[in-house]
Amino acid sequence: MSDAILTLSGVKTDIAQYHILHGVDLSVPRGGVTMLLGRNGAGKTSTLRTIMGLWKPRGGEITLDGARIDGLPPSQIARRGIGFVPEDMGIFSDLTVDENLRLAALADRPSPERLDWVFAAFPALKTFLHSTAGNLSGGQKQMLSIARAVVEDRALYLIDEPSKGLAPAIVATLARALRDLKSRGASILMVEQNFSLARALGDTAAVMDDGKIIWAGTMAELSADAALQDRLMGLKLEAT
Amino acid sequence: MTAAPEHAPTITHLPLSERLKPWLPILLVPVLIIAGYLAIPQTSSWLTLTVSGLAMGMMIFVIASGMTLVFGLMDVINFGHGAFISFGAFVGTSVLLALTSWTGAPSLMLNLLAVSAAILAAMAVTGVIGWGFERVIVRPVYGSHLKQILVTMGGLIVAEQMIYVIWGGTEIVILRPDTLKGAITFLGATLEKYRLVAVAVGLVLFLVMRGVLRHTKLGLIVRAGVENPEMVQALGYNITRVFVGVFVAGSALAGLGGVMWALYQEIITAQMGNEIMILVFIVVIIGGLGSVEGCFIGALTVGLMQNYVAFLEPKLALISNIALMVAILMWRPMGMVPVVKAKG
Repeated sequence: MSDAILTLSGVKTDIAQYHILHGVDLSVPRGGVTMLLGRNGAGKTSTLRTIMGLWKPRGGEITLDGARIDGLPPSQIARRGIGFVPEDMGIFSDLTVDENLRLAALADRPSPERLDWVFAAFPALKTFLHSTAGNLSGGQKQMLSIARAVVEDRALYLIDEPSKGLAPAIVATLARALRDLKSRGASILMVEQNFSLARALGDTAAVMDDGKIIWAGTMAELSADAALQDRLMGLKLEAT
Repeated sequence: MTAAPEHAPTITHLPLSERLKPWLPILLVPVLIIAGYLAIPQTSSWLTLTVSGLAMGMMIFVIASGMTLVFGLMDVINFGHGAFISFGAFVGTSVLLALTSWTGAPSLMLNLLAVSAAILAAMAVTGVIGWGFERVIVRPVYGSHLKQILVTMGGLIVAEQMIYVIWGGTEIVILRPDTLKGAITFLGATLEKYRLVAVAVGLVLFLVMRGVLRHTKLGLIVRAGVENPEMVQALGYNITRVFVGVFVAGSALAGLGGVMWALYQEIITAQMGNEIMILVFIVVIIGGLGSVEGCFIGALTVGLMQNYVAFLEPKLALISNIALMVAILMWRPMGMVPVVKAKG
């Protein structure tokens, strides 16, 4: 888990006249879960969107598996092996659950074995396989969004706030699925505001503020230091 | 922390009446045919009018099918579509005039080959024109309807003038191939042979378009791209290329419609495409934006309505299509089978 699958060096991104990212330096280890933390507006979602090519960086370098991907169109970045779960889930509401999954597979159809695994993680998706995705509940949509990213093996998964606005039962289902994905050796960069979930899943962590990484280290280090959490994120959690 | 309860949803089926609701527009065509049967005294007249109306509807569908892709799916109001119809008609007519030995021969095979060659040439030329049109005129104005109307109207004028430059200002008479002239008699009704060909072409086109959009990966990408192009890109598909392809396909279908319409009218002018655009917009709107099924039902309804009303009350024929559009939009404000619901 020592070598990095993704590195960002000095990445700067502007949206219209606003400077959003001011030189992000980040390294995501292969085969581990990196949690990207920070308060609202720190630049976490912008970082994921910049990696995905949905926003073009103004400066800096992004490499995936040693090859530069900054400046490539999002479709090519996805084809290099990145699965993306956006903050708004990006579900195609007019398509069925089945069609959403089919579209996410770059092969004509997802493999049956992979689908079995997805349905074992998210049984609700099998129940509603032929229903219109727009009729799913918020939690089911999030399951579909994650299922879509993992329906084929990817080199790296970018997951943006999977637990946002969801009931504890759904968060537990998602956490189980993500833990399972992690146990298969997946490399994940995840934005999460729910610190308990972040602590449970993360191996390493990076904290952002004002468009920069202000701290990076292991999740164990951050979890153990309440003062550090408070200083970095304004959290008042009890250290464990 | 206590364990969260399992998430185990179940499906409850809607009552039959609710499940049937989306399919109600399909009944419109048979209901109209039955109403026509009750209102028209002679069965032979009714049959003739019905087949003519369906053929007219199929023709309108062929012409409007490209528009439903471009306007309905891509949300581009392209007045240049009328010019593509005219261009298709002129290119097709030139091919047919060059193949008079085939069109004049009393052989169905040779006649159909000539028509097919004309259609392929027209589709190829209008497809290429559509590609250029998208690159130069439409691409800078995606997302702005007002600008689209202005620039594509300009494009329409330029394209019509190009027709004058290439083919001259006079109208051209094009006769149907030998075996497609005349009519057959069936149950006392007179059925023009060419109209039957139009019905067959329209049906095949409908089934192909529906099949591609509903059952292929490309169709999935197009339908998803209409709703959320950014996410489609993030899944690894080049949506710009797909949309250019859709625009080219829509333009090529206008070329096909142009050839069919030219042989239907047997006379072509540079404005012929523009003149039928009102009907095309009516069909696309009452069908529901982006819906091939809706466009098909809408076109058949318009064709039948126009024929029945012209026979029963000729003066009302002038307003029958507008009245139909008003009635359908009052019933279903989004059109009969809307596809593009997710757009704001």
